[in-house]
Amino acid sequence: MLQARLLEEKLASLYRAGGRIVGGVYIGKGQEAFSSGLAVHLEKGKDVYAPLIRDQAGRLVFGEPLLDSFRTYLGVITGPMRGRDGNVHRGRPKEGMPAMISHLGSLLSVVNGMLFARRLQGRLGNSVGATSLGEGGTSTGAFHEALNQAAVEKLPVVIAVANNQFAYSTPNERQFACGDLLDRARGYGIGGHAVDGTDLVACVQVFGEAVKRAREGQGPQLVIGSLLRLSGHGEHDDSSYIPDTLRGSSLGQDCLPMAERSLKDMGLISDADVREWKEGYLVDIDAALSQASKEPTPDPFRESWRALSTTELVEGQFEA
Amino acid sequence: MSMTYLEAIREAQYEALRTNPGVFLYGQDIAAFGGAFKATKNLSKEFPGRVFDAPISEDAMVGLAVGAAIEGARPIIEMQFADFSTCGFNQIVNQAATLFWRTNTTCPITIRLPSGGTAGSGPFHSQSMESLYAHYPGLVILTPASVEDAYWMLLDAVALDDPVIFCEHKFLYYHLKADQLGERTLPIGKARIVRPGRHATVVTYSAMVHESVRAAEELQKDGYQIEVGRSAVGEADGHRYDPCFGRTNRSHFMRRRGFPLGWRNCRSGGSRFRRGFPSSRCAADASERQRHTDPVSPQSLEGAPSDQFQHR
Repeated sequence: MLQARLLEEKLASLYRAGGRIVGGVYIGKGQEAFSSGLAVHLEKGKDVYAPLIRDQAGRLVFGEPLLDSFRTYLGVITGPMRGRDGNVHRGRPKEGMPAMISHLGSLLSVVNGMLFARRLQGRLGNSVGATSLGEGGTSTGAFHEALNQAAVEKLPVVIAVANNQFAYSTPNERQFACGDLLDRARGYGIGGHAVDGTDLVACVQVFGEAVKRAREGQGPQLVIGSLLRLSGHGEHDDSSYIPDTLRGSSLGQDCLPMAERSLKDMGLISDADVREWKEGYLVDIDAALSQASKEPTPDPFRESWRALSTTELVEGQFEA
Repeated sequence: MSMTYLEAIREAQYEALRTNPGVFLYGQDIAAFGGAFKATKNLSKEFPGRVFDAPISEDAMVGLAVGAAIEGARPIIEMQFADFSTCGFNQIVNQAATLFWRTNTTCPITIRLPSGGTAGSGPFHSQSMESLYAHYPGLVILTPASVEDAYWMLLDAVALDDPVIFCEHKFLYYHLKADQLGERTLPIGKARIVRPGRHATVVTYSAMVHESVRAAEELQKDGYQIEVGRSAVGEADGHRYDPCFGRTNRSHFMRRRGFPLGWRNCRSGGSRFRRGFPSSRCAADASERQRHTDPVSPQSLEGAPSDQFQHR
């Protein structure tokens, strides 16, 4: 989560400076504990991880290369999206990391399908799928359909819902009327877990249990994390709609220094460790940025921009 | 042997399941019940564990198909009626259609759409959606007109590495019969001349092929020799122009209108279709003439008499 925070600070500063970043910048400040608390239980090459827009931390923990991030933000062709789709939309589906589309809730059924096919092919084993969503995304029909589908098929999927109190600017009281989003789990007959999304140790524990249950065949597990987004929806947004009282509440605690304190109290890390990691990460970030900056952007005149993979059906290549 | 259009669709699914272990079927009421039209009759018995009833969740059905395709499967999704595919529209046009372009990952899914109006079916069980989907790059639209088409095109659809919207016409399900399925002779995307003629060409697809042949036979009595061409495939730029349609130098595109929603599709479908035509050989269909300015020619076609169809 430290690496993600430093990376996103760099991306945000590049965005503010202008000229380098193609498209918007959407960061996960305040959600790193919740995001990485899930990903730390996943195994790349075995599990499916479908991150959403505030999952830079989870992506790095899962094993997405740092370069993928810069290459996508700078829109160069060496990145996973080859300069065609931006930034938080990146993914590598064939490596178990589907690429999100902007339509919220629609990624869950894709994860369901990946697990469903693996089970049909007899190679599901004890792998799991995991995906994230904000509380606002739980209002979509796609989310409800897919959650029900996962429950009917008893798929080993973990759904992390970061309840960060605002969907862009819309507060929870305009988003849902149930007392607790955890009710959604009961409603669909699946496992439900609640966690303080600002507490790394709690997140690691709760996600550990949820992933374990999914691996054991207990079906979908919904994890609701309570927290506050410590940034705007994107870097263009000053988030002035978030009241100071909420910022000052326990929901508004910054998970990063909290995690640092907890781990030091537990004797797991020292000040020197943190200093050393920070220096190392900054070097890596600068190196990745420098490399991606030198790489070419797309050239529609030289590249194939076909929407179909079947060459003979592509317009202009069918003339007799 | 006599086989209906609907039976050919079942047979093609049987063959796809038999020959490709990656194929599975997912849709509402398609397992033990065999589907609302019985297009999957007995398949769940013949292929246990590969034919699944889906919840009434078209969005999630298509999303699941995309995920399965990423993992190497070749799902066939049955929409109970073409009309209900609008509930899965987002997954079709945004998730499935863009997957290859975005991520270089192919998306071999087939979505079967029982299409078209039949008497008494009303506005929500009668729609023809093909021209709507033809607007989206990344989708292949197949519109079988004959029993043989239904069989071979469905097998083609499953074999294709791109998402296919397979528009089968309900009007043809039961009454269209063939004695044999023949050999696969036409590669995907190729059109054929159904009825030769030399005065003008009617290009059409699906059920309207049969209506057009009947109309051509009527006109034969007046001495007009009308050629009827069956178009087969559409994608982002609509039903494609095949050079064989140019023989008479007077081409006319025909499609069947649906209920009110279909009307709008009808107009745009025409415009998409015509983009595939060289402008000198292009003519609008009747509904086009009444409503649209031709994107190829700047003149309005309002009230254009039929003998002026050939415009530049």
